[in-house]
Amino acid sequence: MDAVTYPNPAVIEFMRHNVIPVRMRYDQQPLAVRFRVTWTPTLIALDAQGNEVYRNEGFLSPENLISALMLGIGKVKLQAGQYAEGASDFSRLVSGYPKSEEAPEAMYYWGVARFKSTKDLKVMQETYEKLLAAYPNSSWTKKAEPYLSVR
Amino acid sequence: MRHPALVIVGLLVVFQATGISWAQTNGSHVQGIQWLTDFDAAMALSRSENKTVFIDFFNPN
Repeated sequence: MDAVTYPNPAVIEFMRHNVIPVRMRYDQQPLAVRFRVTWTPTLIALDAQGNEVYRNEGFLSPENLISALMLGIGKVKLQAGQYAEGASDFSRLVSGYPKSEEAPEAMYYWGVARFKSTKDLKVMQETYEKLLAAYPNSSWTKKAEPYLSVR
Repeated sequence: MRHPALVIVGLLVVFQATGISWAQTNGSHVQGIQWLTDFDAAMALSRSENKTVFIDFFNPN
């Protein structure tokens, strides 16, 4: 990460404007125990109370790091009940990094965030159809499949 | 023409100022990103700036 990902100008720019970055040794206490760190690198997104909302373990390329950060930011907002903001973050991830590993999950949670704000099940059905069209083999498409039969 | 000693003093001042921000990386020397190492300070900053805290647990070896 230090050699390839963090020096990347796009990563620096994104992190500067969008996140509060914290760096800890994998064995630094009490946080290493609190967050059950067993592998490095481990990247964890926290909510405003310091609770873990999103985690990624292993190397991330510059593009994957940015999409992982965007996913984490969206999930923090979703959990905080900021559904419109979360949906917007997920949407930006999907449109900006459609080929990233995080894109199908972002599309799934884009549907969740919109459903949470509208309570309209058609939103989840629409989300499944979009997932099926864009990511037919993704596990996130399979997770959304049951919504197709819900009335 | 600037005196060489002034140039050296100037470079030392710049280096020292840069070193302060690098010190925040806990020795990882990742340039360009202002890493924090104080968890409580990061959480406070997160609330005041309405930004998400990300922790990178790394192995320096």
